[in-house]
Amino acid sequence: MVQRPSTLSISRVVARTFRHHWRILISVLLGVTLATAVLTGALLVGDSMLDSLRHLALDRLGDIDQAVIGQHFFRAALVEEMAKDDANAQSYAAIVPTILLSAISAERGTGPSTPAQPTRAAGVTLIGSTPAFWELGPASSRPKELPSDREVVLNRTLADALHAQVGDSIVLRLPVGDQVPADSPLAQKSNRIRSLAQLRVIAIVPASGLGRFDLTNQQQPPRLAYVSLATLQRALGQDHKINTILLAQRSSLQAESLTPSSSQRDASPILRPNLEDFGVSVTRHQLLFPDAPSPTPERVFDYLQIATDRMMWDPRVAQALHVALKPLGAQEVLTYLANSIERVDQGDGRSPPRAIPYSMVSALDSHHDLGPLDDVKGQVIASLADDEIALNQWTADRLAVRLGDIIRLRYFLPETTHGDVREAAAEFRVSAIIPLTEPARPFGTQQPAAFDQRPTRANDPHLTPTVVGVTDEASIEDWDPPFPYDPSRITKEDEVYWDFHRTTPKAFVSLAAGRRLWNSRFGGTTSFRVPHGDKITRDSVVATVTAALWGVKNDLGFAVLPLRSDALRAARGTTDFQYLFLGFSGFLMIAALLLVALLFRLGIERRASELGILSAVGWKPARIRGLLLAEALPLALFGGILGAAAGAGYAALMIAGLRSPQWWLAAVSTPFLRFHASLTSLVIGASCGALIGWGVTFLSTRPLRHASVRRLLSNQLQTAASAVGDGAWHGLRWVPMLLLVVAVILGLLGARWDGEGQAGAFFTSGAALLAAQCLALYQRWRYAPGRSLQPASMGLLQLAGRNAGRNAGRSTLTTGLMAAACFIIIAMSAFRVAPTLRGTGGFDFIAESGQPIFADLTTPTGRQAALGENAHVLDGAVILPLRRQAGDDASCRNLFRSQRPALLGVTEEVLRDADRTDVAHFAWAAGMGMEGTTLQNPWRLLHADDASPVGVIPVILDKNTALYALKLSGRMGETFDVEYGPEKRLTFRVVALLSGSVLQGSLMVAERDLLTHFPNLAGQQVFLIRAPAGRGPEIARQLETTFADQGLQVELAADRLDQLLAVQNTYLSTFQSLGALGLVLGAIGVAVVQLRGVEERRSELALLQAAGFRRARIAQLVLAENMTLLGLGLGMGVLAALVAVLPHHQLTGSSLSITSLAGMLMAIIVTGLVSATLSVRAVLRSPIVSALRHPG
Amino acid sequence: MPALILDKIQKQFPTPDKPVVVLRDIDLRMENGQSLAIVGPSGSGKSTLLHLIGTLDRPTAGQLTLDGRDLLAMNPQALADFRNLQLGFVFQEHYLLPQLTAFENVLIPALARGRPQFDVTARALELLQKLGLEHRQSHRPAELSGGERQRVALARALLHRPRLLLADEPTGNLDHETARAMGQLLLQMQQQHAEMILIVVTHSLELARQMHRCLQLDNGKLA
Repeated sequence: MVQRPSTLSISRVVARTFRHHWRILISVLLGVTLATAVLTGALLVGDSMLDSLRHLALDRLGDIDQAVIGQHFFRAALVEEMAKDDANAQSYAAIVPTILLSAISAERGTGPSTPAQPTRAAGVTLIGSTPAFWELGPASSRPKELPSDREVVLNRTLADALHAQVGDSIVLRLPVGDQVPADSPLAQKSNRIRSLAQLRVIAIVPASGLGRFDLTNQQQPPRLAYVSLATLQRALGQDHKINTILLAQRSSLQAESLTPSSSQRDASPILRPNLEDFGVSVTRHQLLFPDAPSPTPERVFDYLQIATDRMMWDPRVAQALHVALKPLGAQEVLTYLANSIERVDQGDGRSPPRAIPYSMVSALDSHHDLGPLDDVKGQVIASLADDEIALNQWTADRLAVRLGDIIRLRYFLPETTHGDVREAAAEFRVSAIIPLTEPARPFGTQQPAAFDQRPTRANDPHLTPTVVGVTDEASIEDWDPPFPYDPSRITKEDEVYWDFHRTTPKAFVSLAAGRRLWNSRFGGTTSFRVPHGDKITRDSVVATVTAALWGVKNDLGFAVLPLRSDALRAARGTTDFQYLFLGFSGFLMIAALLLVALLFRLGIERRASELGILSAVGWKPARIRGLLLAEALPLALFGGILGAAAGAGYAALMIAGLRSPQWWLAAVSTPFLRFHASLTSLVIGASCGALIGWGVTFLSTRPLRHASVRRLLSNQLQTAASAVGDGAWHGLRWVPMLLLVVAVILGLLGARWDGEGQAGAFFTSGAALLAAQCLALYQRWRYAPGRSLQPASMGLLQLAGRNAGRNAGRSTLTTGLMAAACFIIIAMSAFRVAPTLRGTGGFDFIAESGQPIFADLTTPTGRQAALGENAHVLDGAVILPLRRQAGDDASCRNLFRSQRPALLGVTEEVLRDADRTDVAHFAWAAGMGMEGTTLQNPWRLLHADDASPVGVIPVILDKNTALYALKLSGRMGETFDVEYGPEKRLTFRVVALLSGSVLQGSLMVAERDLLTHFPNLAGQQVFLIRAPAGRGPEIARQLETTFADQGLQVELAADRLDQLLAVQNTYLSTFQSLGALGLVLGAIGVAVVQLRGVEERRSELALLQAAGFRRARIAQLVLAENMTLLGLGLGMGVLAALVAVLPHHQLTGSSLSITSLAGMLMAIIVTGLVSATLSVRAVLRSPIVSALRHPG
Repeated sequence: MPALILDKIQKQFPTPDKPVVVLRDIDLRMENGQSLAIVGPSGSGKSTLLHLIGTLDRPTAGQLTLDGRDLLAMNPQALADFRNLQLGFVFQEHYLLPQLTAFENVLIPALARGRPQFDVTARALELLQKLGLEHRQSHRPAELSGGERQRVALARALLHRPRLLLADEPTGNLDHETARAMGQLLLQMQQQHAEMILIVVTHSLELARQMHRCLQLDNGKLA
């Protein structure tokens, strides 16, 4: 008895189909796997980028979470006090004292290394540390031996830059801190660098962990040198002082996540600097008479003076003290140096006017408790008007002045430019002569003057702040002032005044008048005076002042910077690499999915008769499609899983490419990327890949909806509908001509435009040409397949050509897709950018120094002063300075998100140079109010007073910085905020955009705006240089030699621009490379399409064999058909692409890489040949008879 | 009233120049239980006519009714159901699914409406038995002879006891003896199913003579 078989089910049909048609289904699986691999790979590249940035961000900090980076040095003991605080002890695992000096230069001296190699490196960060610093990082980055006196540890990056080895000797050039702001006329301009020499390299640590400690967020490892804290303190003359505190929170409080709220988890250290830390002194000054021990000495004056070691009080700090001290009856004083006090000759016949040189003048509002403007009876003189001046008796006598006379004060302007002081003058009317008692005994070395007659409140040298080299000298002959000083002007009387009165002011003006003349960005107050009494003691004033200073400690450099939180925010990056690589891989994915569709469709067509019989026996189309989709589902699922795994390989390959200098390293600057895969991305990739793959197979079954059963039974999937209704195409014969005309017009327009407009016009022209070709080809195949083949011209190739267009729609689609892909991939070259003259602004070099340069390199006098006998080297060169506030690099070279972009202050020199019409200038993308007109000098928009509301800073930036780093819209007038520190949020307003410039990465503002918000900036650090022809290298060398201590490095502007443009160009190359891979897959797709056609013609080919054609000849015929389609596709694409690319390259002078283009085409042709050969062989294996009997 | 009515059926195929008329004004009436052979030269449109009757294609003009139902007015879903339950096809090419066994191929029409029920599977076995394929039911088409494959195709066509059995050159790929046996089987099966109408397109005059009627299709007309 025959056993009853089990019944039939869809799943059984599916399983049997898999076993029977496994070849074609495996190829579909491979297609889904490939598409999923590309998708997942792109996601994993994004994961890897984020992970790598995060790793960099956290690795370089070790356990450090926060830092206090002082503007000046403060007591190291502050750290111990912080550590003893219970709240700090609970929150922080470590509080470490350090000295950090940035942007210094290093030089290698003698040692085991070859001396001939370059020995200088700029941009070095020097860390003076204790062993506690190294405990903040992993052991792998610690040197085996910590540096002691005269020893240094280098990180690998600096060691490589110096070609230094262990045992070599290093010199470090350190900035000498000057308490007085450097741009003040009373600050030293020269000798601001001192050397720390003969440091022996005892270890080189890897550039990881604390070996790449950096306060900025960038992927390039910094150049680091480490010395002991004591060594650096001694070298700087800052014993027991530091400028940085590093804080490591206890691990439970560390910010690890990337969420914005992570900063809220930052602890806030208890930080109580004292007055010494702030550089503030509260000193009691009292003058008793008689000063000898006396039972009842009279108090001439007794007050507490609150002064800063910076000479001038910062305006915000002064305002805070003003508020705090006002209830105590405080008096604000502004004492300034007058180059001369002279009586203006009024033609009244008195003795010739005299001038008193180098005298102190105090601006204040005298009042009862403090004076000092008392008359002969000791009564307070009423406040001076703003045009009045009071002279002390000595001065009045010296100048033979009477009340009502006009006095002229000459003085240096309170701010310098390029270190040059400029003198100004102001005139006042004498309204009072203040008594001044002559001491009986002059000042001694450590002894004040002694009086035998009652002194007045004007006998007060403490009204003048300390100016090193001036006020602290015993004799006027010993003055070593930082300003232009002519000792020949000093008379004997002046010397006597110095001996007996020292810095006692010789004249007084109102506080308002003084601020009108001498107020600056550095401040307008030199001291506060508070009357001392029973209730106002030193301790009480100290407490009041300390509390006031704590309220503005951020402005005094005691802000706590959330380094870890900032780093994590920056590590989110500017470019979403997931989407970027999805875009790059788009062609590859599309090609893989098209291949899936083609292969699945091929499988369907091979089984068309099976599907036909199903329809004939009553299967509804939806059920038939459901069966096919049920077959596709396991393919999609399995392909998704395999593809996700393969995606890891694809991602690893991409990352290898991004780490390779030969490939795409230029896109990321340094090979820091490491592979990282997240489960989320793998799942998303697998799911999406499976879903898309399944979706594609679903679309492939759509023709079955309307498929004629009869045709299916005949193994013809093409529907009857496709044979009719396309007469409309026949009627559109004029369209290709029209498209050709459009292409020509766009080409002509493109020749007249420039920049992206030109590239776009040529691209569109090429696209129009491509469309014209495709349409013309279709019409040719469809409606005019060719004259009958004449016997004389009937050859294999002609037959192949006729056969290639047999199915006009399919053939045109195949060639069109190949052509389109080829066109896009090649035509993208039109958007490659090359360094242009306008990109460099017409400048040959761009120079940057670590330390500010005060020399005036814009004038012959300044060059002479700076370069001496070598000044002639700079003859004919244009050197334009810019000020710089250090910050993040907001160019596309920096993958970290820029939170505080560097600022450049555009000087007057730059503005004037931009007005010139005889030199090239930067290219502009847009300028406010200049739409539709030629942009003349948009730099001037930075100074247009009506351009921005009060408090909003006009800014110019490169378009790439705006769009990609800062994610702005590029619209004129757009505002954005940047926090440059706690309570230092600046609002900017875009007034112009540069186009493809070398200044990408910084924000350009007017110099005055920069100095308003960063008053302590001094000197210039960025220079744009235009050199006479042929003399550039000599000029660069001379500048680097002259300013080696400041770490000046001169770089070709074209090279800098090339590096910036390399990122964009590398992205294009990546797109083209991956697109080419997609084209290779496309070539396989062409072969698959051919295979379908061949199978349709199986009986026809079998007939040829029966008629005596050898298999090889038939194979040649089919190959020729395949190569015809491939060649047409590539040819049309290349032709259209050349139309798009060549004119642009000709006009811009850039070059097209013919080698890579040829290589790509060769790879595609070879792949097409191989796959076509394989498909033909598969078909020709079929026996003739069965093919003739079974046409389908 | 005739069970099957073809009234002025026309079929033409479009070409870029002018349409090619294959069938002109075809009129046909058939009663229950009748058999018809359609003969004619190659390219005369015999298979086209059979495909039109079997609703595998649509005529350009004319009417087609079976048991009073206008087949041309049915939507595709209804047509599929109609073919599943009322029509059976036997083609020159067997069109067996190569991955399924003979038994499973017979059950294919039943799978169109869901998992085959017991009665249907019993019917399939019965048919295979009647057609002498009981011991070949678990063999795949590649393991069957040409005649056996056609018999499986016949069993498939008869699974739902169709109202109309259409055979297009059912013996075209068979040798003489097998073809004769196949012809006999067709008639037997038709006789065993009352009211079944059998229409055969054939070049075989021997087979055609065994039908109740024989019509020649020539120049698009049925005579």
